[in-house]
Amino acid sequence: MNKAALFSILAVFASPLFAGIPEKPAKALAAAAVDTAKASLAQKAASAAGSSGIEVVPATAAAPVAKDTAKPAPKVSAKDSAAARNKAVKDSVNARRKFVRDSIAVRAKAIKDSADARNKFVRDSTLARRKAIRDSSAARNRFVRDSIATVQKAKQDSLAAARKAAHEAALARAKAVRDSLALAKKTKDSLAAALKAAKADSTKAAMALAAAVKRANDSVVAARKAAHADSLKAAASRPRIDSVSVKRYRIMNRPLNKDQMKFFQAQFGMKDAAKPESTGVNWICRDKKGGVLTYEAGYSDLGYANETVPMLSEKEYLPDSLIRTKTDVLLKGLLKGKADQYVFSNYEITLVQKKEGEGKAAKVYPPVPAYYCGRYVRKLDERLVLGDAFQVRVGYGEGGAPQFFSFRDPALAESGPMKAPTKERILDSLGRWTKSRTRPRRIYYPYHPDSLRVRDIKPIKAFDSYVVAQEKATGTQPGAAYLMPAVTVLAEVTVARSARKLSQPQPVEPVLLHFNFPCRPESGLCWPDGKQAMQSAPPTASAPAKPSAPGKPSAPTPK
Amino acid sequence: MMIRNILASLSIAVLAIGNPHAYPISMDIGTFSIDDYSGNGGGIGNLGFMVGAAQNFFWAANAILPGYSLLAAPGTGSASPTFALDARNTQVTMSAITNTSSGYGNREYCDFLFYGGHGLNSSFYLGAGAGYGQVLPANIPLGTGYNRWLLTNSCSMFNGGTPAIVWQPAFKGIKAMLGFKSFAFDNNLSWELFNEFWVNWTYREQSLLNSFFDAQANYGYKHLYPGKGLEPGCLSAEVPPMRIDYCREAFKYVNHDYTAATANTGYYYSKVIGSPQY
Repeated sequence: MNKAALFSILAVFASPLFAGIPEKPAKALAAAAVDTAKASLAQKAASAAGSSGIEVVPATAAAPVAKDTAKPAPKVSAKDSAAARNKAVKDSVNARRKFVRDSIAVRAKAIKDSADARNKFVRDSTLARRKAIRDSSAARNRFVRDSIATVQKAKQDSLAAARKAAHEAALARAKAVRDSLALAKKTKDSLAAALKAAKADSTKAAMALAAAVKRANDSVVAARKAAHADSLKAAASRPRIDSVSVKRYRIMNRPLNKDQMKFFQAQFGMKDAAKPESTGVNWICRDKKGGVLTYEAGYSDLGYANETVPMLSEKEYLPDSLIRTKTDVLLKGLLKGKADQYVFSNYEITLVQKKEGEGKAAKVYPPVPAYYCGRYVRKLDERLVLGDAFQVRVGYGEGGAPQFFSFRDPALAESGPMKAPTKERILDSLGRWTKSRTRPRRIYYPYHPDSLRVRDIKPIKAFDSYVVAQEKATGTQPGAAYLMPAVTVLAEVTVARSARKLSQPQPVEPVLLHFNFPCRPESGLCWPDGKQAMQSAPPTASAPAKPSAPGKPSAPTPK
Repeated sequence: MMIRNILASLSIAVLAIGNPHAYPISMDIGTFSIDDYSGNGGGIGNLGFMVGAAQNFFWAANAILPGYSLLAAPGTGSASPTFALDARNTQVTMSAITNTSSGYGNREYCDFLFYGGHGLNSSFYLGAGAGYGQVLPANIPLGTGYNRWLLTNSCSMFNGGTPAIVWQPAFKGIKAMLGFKSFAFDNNLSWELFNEFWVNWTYREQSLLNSFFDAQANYGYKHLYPGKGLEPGCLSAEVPPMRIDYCREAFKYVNHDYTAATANTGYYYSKVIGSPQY
């Protein structure tokens, strides 16, 4: 069998394999293959017949082929041809059967192999999946277990750390309280000791001063007879400085602008402010929390008040030093950059006394602090400015909340220097005054209605100051209020006991009073030197009835 | 204390919200002032600035109140004060000061009373002459008519006992009394002093007690600084538990009616300024 015939037979039997191929080309191919196979068989048969003398006539195209063929096919016998044909058919059938069997076997084997492979794949896949699931589950369980363990450990660590931190904090707090108490006690003790020492020192110093003055006077008296001329000559040539040249200032109203008002509004946490004008004050700003900020240009007085600030609580009834600590802090915030120009002077306490019931059933409680207020005075050229024209008063209530603020800071213009006495000169002069035989002996205490006499007056200390004085207009200066340099002497005044029946109790303890040098009655007390009593100008009979201006200055007389 | 503070704050808030601009329905001012004690029989030294202080007390109110009432309640003009009583020196007799008639020109006609003269341990001292003398709290029932406030510019009016107990007999409808426990001193700065008092009470919306205390701290203290001092005080009439007392009441929260206060004393407030003398 040649290749073309085998191919044709394969094509016939392979045709079912092309089931997926479109029918029409398969059939054409198969038909072509059959035609080729027939032709081949016919050619083979013809060849065989030729060699055997038998004429092979193709079944279909024997006649035309015979008619058209120029060379006639060899003739064979019909018996041999039939046998050959039968044998060929038989062989062909056998081959085809064999081929079919083989194909079927191959196909069955392939199918079986495929099924086996598929089953094996499925089995392997299932096993692999199950294994993966088992592994995943195990991993998840392990993760959960690890997570729980980690969280528990973290929690335990956190609790332990918190317990430790709390313990340390408690220890630190206890230590801080102990330290604070110890420090407070130490401060109190040292303050008490310092005060005691200061008092002892001041008394001692005063006594020493008096003794020194006495010795000096005695020595002077003793030496006067012996060397009067020499003494005078020595005194004249002694280089003592009796006076210094000091600036004085004219006081003027200080204008305030919106930015400055806004600054103070911010300091007090004020919002929703308004700015009405009025005849009483020039600026008024209110907020919804109850705070009111005002500025009076005529007095250069900035004021703040908040009546909704609650009163102090019991734990805030503080000692004096802590009052200053509190007001100092408030002041630094309010007078940004200018707080160091002020010196703490004293403090005020507002007290409240509760009463319940009526008549004999009434119950009255002890007075307790409600608000604290600190007063600060201005320091200018290293001199304290006395009076109330330059001052800051700041008060607070519960929790240190600012309840009150009064800030007086008029503008100043330098107005030329003037001579002012020195502290040394004044103290020296007072030392001589104490021992003088010609000094006034009848001195009246000005702060008692029964005109009590002063038994003794001792200078304690002196300091440089400025006092406010009203100066008349001259050719060189306008009439205005001025800050005038002075020396202020703190003296201890002892009032003589009186046998008379008094309208008010008299002071038993020595009283501290301030005297200004040179004497300016409108600015404070004057030293009783024979020309001037220990008071400012005497009270006048006619009082100032006009509201526009203050009257003439006078000494404060008790009512 | 804390509860009371909270209640007081709440009261302020309630008053501020519910009754923003009440004001007194009128402000008739009456003054008793004595400088010339020798004309009243002597017995004590003369003073120099009490009559002037009384005048300045009224004129400061007259300068402040109309502008304030116009500003805060335009068109009302209700707070213009009148000087309904101006008794001076010899006119300040025992009968004048204890008279309870509420007719014009008498003490009880006035809403705000001012006394300037000597005080002796919780009593008014008018002089040693006949018809003058010492006026004790029991002799001067305040508030039976229209008296609502009293300012005593004199020594020791809250001295000599607990103020709320000592002055209880005088509280017959008056709301609050201002004065001193310490010595007070004749003061030529009464215009500045009382001008500041009225400004504080009105424009600055300070309470009655702080209006008085701060004015004294700034001007009453001027001649005394820094050696001496003052202790001003404010005694309120009794108030219901939820109401703020009269010493802590700013001018604009005062009820707009003539209702008298409870005839009993309540809280007493004081302020220590410098080193007061008693």
